Amino acid sequence: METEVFENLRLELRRGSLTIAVLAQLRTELYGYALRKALADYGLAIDENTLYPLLRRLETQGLLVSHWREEEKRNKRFYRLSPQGEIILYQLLNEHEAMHAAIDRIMAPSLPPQAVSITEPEIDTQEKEQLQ
Amino acid sequence: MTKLSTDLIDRYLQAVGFWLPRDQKQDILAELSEDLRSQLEDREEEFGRALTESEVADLLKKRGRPIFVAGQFLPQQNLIGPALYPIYVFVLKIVALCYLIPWLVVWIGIMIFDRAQTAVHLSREWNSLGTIWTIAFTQFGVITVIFAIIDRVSVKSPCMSDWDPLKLPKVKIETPAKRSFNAVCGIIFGIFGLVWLLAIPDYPFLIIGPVAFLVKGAPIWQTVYWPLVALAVAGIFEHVIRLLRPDLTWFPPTFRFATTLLSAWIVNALLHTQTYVLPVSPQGAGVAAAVNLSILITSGVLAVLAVVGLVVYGWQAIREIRRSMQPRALHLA
Repeated sequence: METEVFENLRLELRRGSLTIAVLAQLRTELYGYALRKALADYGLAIDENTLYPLLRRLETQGLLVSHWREEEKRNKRFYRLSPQGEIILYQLLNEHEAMHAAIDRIMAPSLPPQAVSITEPEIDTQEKEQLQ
Repeated sequence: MTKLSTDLIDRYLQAVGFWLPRDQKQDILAELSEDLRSQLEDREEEFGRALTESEVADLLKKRGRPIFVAGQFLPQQNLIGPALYPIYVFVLKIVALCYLIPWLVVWIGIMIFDRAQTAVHLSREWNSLGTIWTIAFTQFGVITVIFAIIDRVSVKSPCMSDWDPLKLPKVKIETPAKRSFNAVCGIIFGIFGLVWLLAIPDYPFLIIGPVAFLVKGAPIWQTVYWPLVALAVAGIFEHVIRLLRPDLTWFPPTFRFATTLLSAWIVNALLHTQTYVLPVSPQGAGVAAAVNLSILITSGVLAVLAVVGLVVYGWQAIREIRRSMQPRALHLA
């Protein structure tokens, strides 16, 4: 039961991170299999049944561009990040970093849980201006 | 790569292709084919030999069933989306309550209270079971289709986002004072009822009014009188416990389940007798017949209510007992 709950949550957590990883890796043009190997080399193994549908979805959303090209006597579909994909990637990276930092602060051993819950969250200047 | 491997991959891709949308089929299959062949070549390079047919089969098996692989490329669709799903489930429950539950209650009631005819009823009900399920499934299908259509039509409808939080109903809170007041009222009225019940044997007009001079109670009342008194005492006892220990949330439904069982036994006895009053003079014969008929009809209604009560209180008792057994933190959450 616990394993199943963990597995579901892990998949949920991975889903967003994989998108960022794929977008980041495709700053360099790669075909599907090479992308899979590159991600695995970085320690992020991704199932082909997850990768290819994800690539198509990202392409439909305009974040990737692709074309067929012959390489080593075989036709391969190469993907790379589109200009719009670059903007989205950096937005996602910022969001990821902010979330990571927030979790770090919440988990900081110096702060007891009560202190965390009553501490005013840090709001950046832009957000403060929007609130005002 | 051997011819056998190529043949197996082609067969696999053909099976995947069967489930893919026509406009994307060739494109997706070409990409999958390339990926599979690259993986196979890598594996062959690693082993330093061509893969056997069973090794290729293992590799394909790891990829998953063709229908599953193809399904990943299809858009994720719900017949009924998350916005409408709770309403859909609610409507299904209402339909089940209005259709299946009454049928079940009558059926169980007949089985319990008319045991002499159980075999006949069972055979008749068994024959009608097919029709009942057909109607139930038809209702389920029709409701599902209606909701699926509403879901398609109303997803972008403004009424889904246009709502006023100020129109939300007030929070229902049963304050301790109100709870105590209800319990005290229950005790007072319970005592009045008990006194009334205890007085009936000596003053029968308290229950049948002026016709007490024309009819008298049948022997059945000697059988059910003390169980009725016990029910009245139990009612008072329940309110006392509610007043003193409001935290025992499992107690009221559990206790009511037990008292409803006793009520069901009384009603069962009444339904089997069908003679509740006897005329004391020839003039009382018509009155006795009318009173007997009215008590018989009332007993029939009470029998249905007893079965409903047993189902409802039984369900509530199980729910509350399970809740009370959960750790405190979870209970509060």
